[in-house]
Amino acid sequence: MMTYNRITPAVLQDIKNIVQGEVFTQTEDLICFSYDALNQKFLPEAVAFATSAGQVSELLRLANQHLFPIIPRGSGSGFTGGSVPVKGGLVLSLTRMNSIIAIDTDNLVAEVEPGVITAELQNAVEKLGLFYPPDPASLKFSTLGGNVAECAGGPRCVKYGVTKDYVLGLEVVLPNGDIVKTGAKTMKSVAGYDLTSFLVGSEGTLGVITRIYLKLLPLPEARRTMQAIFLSMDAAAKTVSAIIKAKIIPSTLEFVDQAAIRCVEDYLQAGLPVHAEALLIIEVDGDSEVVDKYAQKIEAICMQGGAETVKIAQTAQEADELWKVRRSISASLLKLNPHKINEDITVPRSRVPDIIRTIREIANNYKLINVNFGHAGDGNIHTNFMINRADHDELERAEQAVSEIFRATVAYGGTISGEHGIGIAKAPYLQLEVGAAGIEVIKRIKKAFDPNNILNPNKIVLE
Amino acid sequence: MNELQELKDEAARCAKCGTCLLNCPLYPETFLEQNSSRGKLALIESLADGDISVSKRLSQILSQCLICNTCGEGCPNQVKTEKIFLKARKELCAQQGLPLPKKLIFRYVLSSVRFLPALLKAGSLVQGFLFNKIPKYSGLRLRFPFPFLDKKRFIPVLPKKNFMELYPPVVPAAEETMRAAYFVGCATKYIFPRVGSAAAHILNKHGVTLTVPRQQVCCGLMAFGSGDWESARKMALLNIEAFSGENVDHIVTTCASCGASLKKYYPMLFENAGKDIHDKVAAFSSKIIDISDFLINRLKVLEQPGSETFVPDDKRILVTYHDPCHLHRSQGISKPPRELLRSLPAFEFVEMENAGTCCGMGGSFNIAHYDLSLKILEKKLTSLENSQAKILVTGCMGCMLQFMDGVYQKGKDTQVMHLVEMLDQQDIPQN
Repeated sequence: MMTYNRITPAVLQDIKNIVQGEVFTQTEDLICFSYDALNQKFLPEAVAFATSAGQVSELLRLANQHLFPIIPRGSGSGFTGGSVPVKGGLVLSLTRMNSIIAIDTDNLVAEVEPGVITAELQNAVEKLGLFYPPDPASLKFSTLGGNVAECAGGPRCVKYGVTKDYVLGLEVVLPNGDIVKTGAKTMKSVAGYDLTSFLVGSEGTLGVITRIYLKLLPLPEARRTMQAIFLSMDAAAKTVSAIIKAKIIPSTLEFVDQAAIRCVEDYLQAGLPVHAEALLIIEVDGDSEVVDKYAQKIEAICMQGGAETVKIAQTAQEADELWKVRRSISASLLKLNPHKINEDITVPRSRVPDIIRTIREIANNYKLINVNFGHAGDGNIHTNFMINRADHDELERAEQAVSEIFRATVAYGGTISGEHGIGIAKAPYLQLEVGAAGIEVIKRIKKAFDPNNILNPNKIVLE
Repeated sequence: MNELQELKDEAARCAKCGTCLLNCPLYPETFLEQNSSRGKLALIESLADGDISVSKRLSQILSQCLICNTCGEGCPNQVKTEKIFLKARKELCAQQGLPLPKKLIFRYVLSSVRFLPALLKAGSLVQGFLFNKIPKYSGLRLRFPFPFLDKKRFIPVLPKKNFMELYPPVVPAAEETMRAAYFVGCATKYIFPRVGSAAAHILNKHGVTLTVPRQQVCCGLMAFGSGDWESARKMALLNIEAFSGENVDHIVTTCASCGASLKKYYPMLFENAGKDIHDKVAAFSSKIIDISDFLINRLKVLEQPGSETFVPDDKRILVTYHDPCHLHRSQGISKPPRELLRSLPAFEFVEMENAGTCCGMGGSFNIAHYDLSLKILEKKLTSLENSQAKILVTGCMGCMLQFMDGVYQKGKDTQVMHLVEMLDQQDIPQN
């Protein structure tokens, strides 16, 4: 087990000299940087903001010299504790490095600093008729640096893939302070090891990202949104597989189960079908000539699959109303219980019906309130247990249920995390999926990048 | 401490998801978690758990909030941030006390019917000595450094006569169809009596006899927002008493902040009071109505026939509207002012971007954190400029002062006006 040194007043002065700005050390300030969306608190010893790769480099050298941890942080909106300082040390916020350096419309590449908010880049490129597809639910407040570090996904992943599919290259400060460029601003590059891939999804454990080169696409001309209502969950899940099998890739394919439908209906009073076991929200995009054809094809598949009704939105407002159901789930669930344990398991798409059935059995066995929704189109199910954390028995049952769901997921050939990462929340379960040898190689990679273990320690693989 | 525990239970509903970060007008200016709601909620939890105690730094952090409630409105977990922050400030104030100037102002000046007018009268006499005139904006600039006030700040000229001196206790309509009372509010009384005049004029014209009780005092919002609930309660009771003799169904306000205070915050101030007081406060608060709501939904002015005045499109002046937090979010009023503006034949209404975002005033926030306040305003000024409107209309005295300051500092010609001033020039409706 690694031991670290406390940040002394002398080191603190060095940090201040490097960042040439405020460094927070009062408890009141530290508390505000002690959490992320996992909602567990770990106090750092200091908080600083970097404004250049040079500063990040000097700080990492300082950390190696004095052996204190550095934890890079964006908006702190991750769900697995990736940006919390479990071993104390310096929280290093990159949020003020937030310039969109260039949008190259000749080569369809955006060059950004890590603190740029995802939605800001999307708005900027869409004004130029371009498209940056990854759309995590947090896109209005999460940073691109965080998205890259966690390899964020989102509903559009079913057609467009996840963050890693858009990262062409990076500027990264390695834990020893070296500044390296990985990848290239080109569509192809096989020069040396694919270091970009090492870093995307590394959860801030292998390097601090200071610049990102992102691939852009032309903005699709049109989209159609539809809603299909199913009386049986099994029929809905099978329809998801049927749509994929029919070789039409919708731009999003989301599902909402009965528990969620009922909560949302209570919340919105929108006349939703509370008798239905599942509801699919499907969107297709592309040229205006083809979207209607795709929409009709999908409508036919849904009807064949046993949908009670299929509704295709005729206006942007109608489409927005259909999406509102999906967007309101989180808020509406709280009436069931005050707290939510939210997992983002992912299975091969053909196994969606199986995993849903298994989850419901497990929830019944442990007598837990279970709500499922999510990105059915890519097999990424958000399964939620609504609990009251004060009820220790319930909390324990929920933890056991989660563990069983993870086992079932891996057995179906799936993964314990589709898009949230491992962080500290899922670290105990990682071996289940990657095995002892897998853990070992992760440790060796970490050691090669960060021999002193000063960068975001005790994440992904627990000590 | 019990109350703190209650606050903690509410604060603990925050899942730290981060949605509030970019909804907040303040956070994107600094990227400090301390400026975000979830940061403040984490601190309130820690305070209740005894991990930290009341400190100067804690008060400072909690004061860095505009109480605009954009976070609360957008919160997926429906955490009642506004209520939590206001109550936390109260706890801090109770444990730590107020800084002396605030204490003196809240306890002795704002709640006085006589002292405040006398003070401001003196102010109107010496303002020529303290300030330089800037005629283009009918405003003033400080000649000498002055505590709490930045030298670049725009300060409106204090008129010689305040609203109460200009108007009698009853302002009769020629053909009375209804009586309503008017809660004037400090800024209208002493700085912009012309807004009160316009309101009286319009209401009279629509058959409303306006009564203006003499004993009304400051609405108490400043004290309330600073955590001094004791002073705020005192002012609330004085106001409720002042209006108790009026036999009216409606008490009209022209300032969104006063309106929110009277309608929404008074019940909060007395939520633990005995039934008698509780009922009295509830009865008073239920009568409060913003003038735009009153014109549209009570008087139904746009449904009355009027003579048509044709103004060619190219002659119509562009006007836009800023939603005060205290009108839009606190009172749920955003449509009536727009409907009224759209009905004016000589003007063309354009929506500016982010019309509903806070202007950065936040009452005493603007005094305590002036530079931050201006940074927040900067974005609004950009939207205003992009809208190409010649006139910015709003319904809150705080927002008016804030925009006047911004427009003046930029040397722009945009006019800042209250909705009723627009309506009074134009009269309504000509459909």
